[in-house]
Amino acid sequence: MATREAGKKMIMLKSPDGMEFEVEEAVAMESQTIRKMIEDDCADTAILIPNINSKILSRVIEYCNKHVPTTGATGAAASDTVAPAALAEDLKIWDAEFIKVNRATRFDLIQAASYLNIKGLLDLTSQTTIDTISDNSLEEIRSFLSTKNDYLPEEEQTIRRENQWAFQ
Amino acid sequence: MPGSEDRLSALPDGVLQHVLGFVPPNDAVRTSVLAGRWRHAWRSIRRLRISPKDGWDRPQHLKDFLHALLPPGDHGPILEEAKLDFDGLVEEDDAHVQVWIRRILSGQAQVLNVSFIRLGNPPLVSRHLRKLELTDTALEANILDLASCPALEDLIMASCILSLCKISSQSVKRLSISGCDFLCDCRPRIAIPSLVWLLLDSFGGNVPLLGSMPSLKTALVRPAAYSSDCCKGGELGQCCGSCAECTGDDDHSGRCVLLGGLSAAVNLELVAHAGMLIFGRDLRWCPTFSNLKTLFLNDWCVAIDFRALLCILEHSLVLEKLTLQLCKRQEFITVLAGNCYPLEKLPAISEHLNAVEIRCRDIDGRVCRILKFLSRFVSVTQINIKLTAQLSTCFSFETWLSPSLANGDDYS
Repeated sequence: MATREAGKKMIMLKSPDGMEFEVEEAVAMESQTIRKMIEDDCADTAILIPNINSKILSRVIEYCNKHVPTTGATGAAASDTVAPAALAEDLKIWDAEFIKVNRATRFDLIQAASYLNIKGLLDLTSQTTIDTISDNSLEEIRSFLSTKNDYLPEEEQTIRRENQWAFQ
Repeated sequence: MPGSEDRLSALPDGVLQHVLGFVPPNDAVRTSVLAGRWRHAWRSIRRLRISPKDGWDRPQHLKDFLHALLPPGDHGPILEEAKLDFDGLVEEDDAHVQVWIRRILSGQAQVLNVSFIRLGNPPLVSRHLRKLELTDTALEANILDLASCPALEDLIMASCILSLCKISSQSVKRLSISGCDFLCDCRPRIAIPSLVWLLLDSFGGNVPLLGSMPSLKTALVRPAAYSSDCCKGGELGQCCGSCAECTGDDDHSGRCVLLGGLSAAVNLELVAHAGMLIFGRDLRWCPTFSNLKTLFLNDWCVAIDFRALLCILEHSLVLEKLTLQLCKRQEFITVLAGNCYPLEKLPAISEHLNAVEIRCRDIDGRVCRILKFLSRFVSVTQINIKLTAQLSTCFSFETWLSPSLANGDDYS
């Protein structure tokens, strides 16, 4: 699998649990963090991705594979050509399926997207998280977040007064 | 996984701020009472969305919120994206709006989307702004002199009133202007030499003068039927074919308005109502399209005779594919039959032209004439006639949409 297609540069990504993933450079560069490493010539052999286990890393690669801009039939640079509207719609449907994961996996994906700086994936995971907790009361959100209210009652009143309109 | 419930609070601040950007503003502010760590988190959101749907009951609430989020000072806000739909929320002339927008731009903002306001002098200044989208907005004076936005690549305007003489930038690569009116006394200029992709769709008022764009790849241009550069002297508001404008007494200063700037394009769609004069007038300056490979034209290029079509063919040196879309309209060619191009003197055209497609409702006399005319340049086997029931004066859009329009950065 080393030279899958002639002319396409491959990059090896390693997870801390020892798994290796060979991906096309263009796919890996969906991550701004990896892009920077490659552009700074820090990516000769394999890139170790700390803190992201192989299960999450493989899902992240799956996302990048789907979202890497395809080269147009004319061979023109992808950024100057065109993604037909149908393709964008297709991606939305794919994203919706992709993010149907349990909460723990979703948080892992948020952190991975944040560390690797993959904007599309970070937006997708953030939006999904918000969708699952919106329309809840503050108490429910506190309980969902397991966040303890560490304000004194009078402190909380002050904060509520500061931005009274938001609490009406 | 144990302990996964409180993972959101365990996220680093940067991620927390990113997640908060997806919450409506009042909910974001309400998180300040969750716990100490959350008290000021909402002030550092990366993404702001203001929408009338979020129930801003009083204008003062919106002002309080934005003043708190965008305090004056040396440190610009860390907002990366802002979508501000002020429809019904502020008066169009509200001076606060100018202040908010300029504060946002003074920070980290890369994407700004604004609607329902008025923007005027001085020009916008932003080091990081990559994409600017303006909808239902009145733009005046030098606001679109974008020299101080060196990272700007995408400029999108829809349903705007442009009361200005110039749109200029050294960095914008993709420009989309649709449903806008150019209302100024002069002929407005678009001076963006870095442009790669251009959509000028249904623009009214004065047709803008396009400056040189040597990197241009794709352009789609369709003036609105009510554009000023249009003859309405004929029957049913169509081109009369005989007035001073139609026959060549034009008023501009001796060079192309639109086509000169488009001369580097590889893919070109020029669509106009038959009465629109601007393309035909430009063609009298015989602009050369030295890179043009695919060309899409409609009725205007055969509205009076074949001269316009022939002129483009003659000056498109490497053209490969030509598409003609013909609506069922008055047969100008029949009316002006005596005025046809002298066909015995045929110029040479691109030897790469190997595909011609004619789209029409039915094969009438006009189509037959065009077919006969074109068969003098290309083999009949390379001409494909496509009969289509529904045709309008639209772009074909068959090969391209701007990547910036089709994906990303939208907040829906």
